[in-house]
Amino acid sequence: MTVPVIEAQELSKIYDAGRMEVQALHDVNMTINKGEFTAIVGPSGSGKTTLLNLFGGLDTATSGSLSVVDRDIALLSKRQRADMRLHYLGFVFQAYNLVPVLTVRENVEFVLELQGVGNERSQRAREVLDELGLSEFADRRPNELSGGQQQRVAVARAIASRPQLVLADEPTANLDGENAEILLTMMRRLNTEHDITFVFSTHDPRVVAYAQRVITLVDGCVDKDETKSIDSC
Amino acid sequence: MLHWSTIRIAWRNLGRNRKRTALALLAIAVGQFALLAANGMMHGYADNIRLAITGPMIGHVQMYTPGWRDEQAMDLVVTGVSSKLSIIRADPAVMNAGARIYAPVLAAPEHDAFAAVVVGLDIPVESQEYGMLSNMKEPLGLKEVLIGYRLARRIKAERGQKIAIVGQGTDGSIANDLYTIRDIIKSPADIVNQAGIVMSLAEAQQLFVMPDSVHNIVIRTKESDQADELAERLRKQAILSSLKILTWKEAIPEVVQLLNVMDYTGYIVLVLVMIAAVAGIANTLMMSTFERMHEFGMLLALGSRPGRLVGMIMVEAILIGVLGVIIGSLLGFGFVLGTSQSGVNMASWGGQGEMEDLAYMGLNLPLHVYPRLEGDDIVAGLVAVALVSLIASLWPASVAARLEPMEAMRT
Repeated sequence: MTVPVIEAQELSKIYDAGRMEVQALHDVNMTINKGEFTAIVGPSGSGKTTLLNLFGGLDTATSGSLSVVDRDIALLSKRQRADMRLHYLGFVFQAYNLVPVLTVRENVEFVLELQGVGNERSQRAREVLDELGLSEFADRRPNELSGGQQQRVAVARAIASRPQLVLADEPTANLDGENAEILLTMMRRLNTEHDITFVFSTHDPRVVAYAQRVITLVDGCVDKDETKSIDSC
Repeated sequence: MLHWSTIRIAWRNLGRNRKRTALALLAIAVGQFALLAANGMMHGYADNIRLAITGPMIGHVQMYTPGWRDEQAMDLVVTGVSSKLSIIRADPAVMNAGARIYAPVLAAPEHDAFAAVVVGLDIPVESQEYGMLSNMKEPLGLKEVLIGYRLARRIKAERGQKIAIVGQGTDGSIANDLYTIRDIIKSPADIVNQAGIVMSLAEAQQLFVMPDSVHNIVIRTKESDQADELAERLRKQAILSSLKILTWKEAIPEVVQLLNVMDYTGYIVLVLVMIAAVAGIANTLMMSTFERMHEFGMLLALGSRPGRLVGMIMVEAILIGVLGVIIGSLLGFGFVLGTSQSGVNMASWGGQGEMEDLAYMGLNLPLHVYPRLEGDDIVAGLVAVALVSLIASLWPASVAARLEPMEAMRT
């Protein structure tokens, strides 16, 4: 049975850029179900990041409706959107975005602390780092890690809070081929083993190859929506 | 609620731009050091003034015949001194009480005569600590006098020289005699240094025909805060009822005012310290906040509440402030501790190794100050800087509180 995690209907976003308006998204209709591993692709300026920001409650749509993990985003206050992100979503950013003054373990624990996880915080952080093969880096600061390692820590942080949905904006953009492959393999494994839904924007063909479903945006509109068989990746 | 990670991040953030943090800390530390050093010196100098007043000059309580203080007339005397002193010395608050005579005279060490003042003193009492002759070890012999060092310089008098003194007795007779200068002295009382010829009370009483009479009685209490109560008790004594009895605060309110002004000076320095602290902390926090906009945006995107960012900035501010105060306090303590025994010779600041003491309202105020701190000096700095740190963090904190995650992450 398919359970929708994201449902977008007639979703539009217009940015006010001084004298002119820029339509970043135009009547986007889309449903992403639980457990999917979805890539949103398209050229620069096609609206990929805008769409992810709307999914994450980081921005609000100009028109249309959007439901994420059974919540109508338009009805949520700023604080409720922050709570939704904290408890149900995980984020992986293009530029890693780890807290530079915290160690790897502290970065992972930080999200758990925000969630209010008490005594089991360090145990859970250790488990996640073990699972992603990052234990040896636990006491290092982000600036002591390579880009690939930092992005893996970012994924660890994103899944430590046991989210239903992980949104990743160009996660491999700053990685070389080998590190991109390691990261994607890891994300795919988390997707299948923990049933975490992954939605990521990319224009990297390596990433697309891993995706179960590929949604192509062109000029803010859904141009193609293709689902591949699981075996294909 | 303040989370441990908020404190940890705030603390580590201080190390991100060490030079900037060090500058902010330095500004606050120097300010706090200046506050403590200035207060230490101020307390030390106030002590000098207080001791000069309550010690050799006025005592904690003094008494005289009404009108004597304004007119300084020879015949305005306190009579029956022996019995009065017995009553006074019997009070448990009294450490010592000495009687004094002040008589204008002409003094001639050789051919020329100079105006001077004979000061008749109860030598055993005045030789004690804080007395007019506190450095004197041996009693004065018969027909021996001491000369103030400025007077000696003016009249070219020397130790061992004879000096003729001519004045007027209280009975209108001519009072004159020949004395030997036992020593040239530097007294805490400026009148003695400028014009004083000190002789024993008995010699002065004999010279000026003042049997069992003096011009005033100076009393020192065991504790400095006993003056008011003692004066009150003495005013109730029938034998003293004809005398004017004043505490040192009543006798010289101008100096009390000066001491109060010195206390306020500490507050002025405190305000300057606070301005330095606000500028240092606010500048550091603003720069650090704007540099970390992207990071704040990321934290908000992860689900942090704006209040957490505000808390982080405020904790950073308090850490900088408190650290700065601690460093400044240690430096200030070091200065005061290092100089409290040896003292600081303020005269040398004027470019001279040894300068004469400062005279003010007849008081000889030593320029060698022994700095001292009081409990409030530290507490005032700590509390003020903590408050100021919070105030300085309000602007950057309000910027962080209004951040939208996406806008912040775009910066």
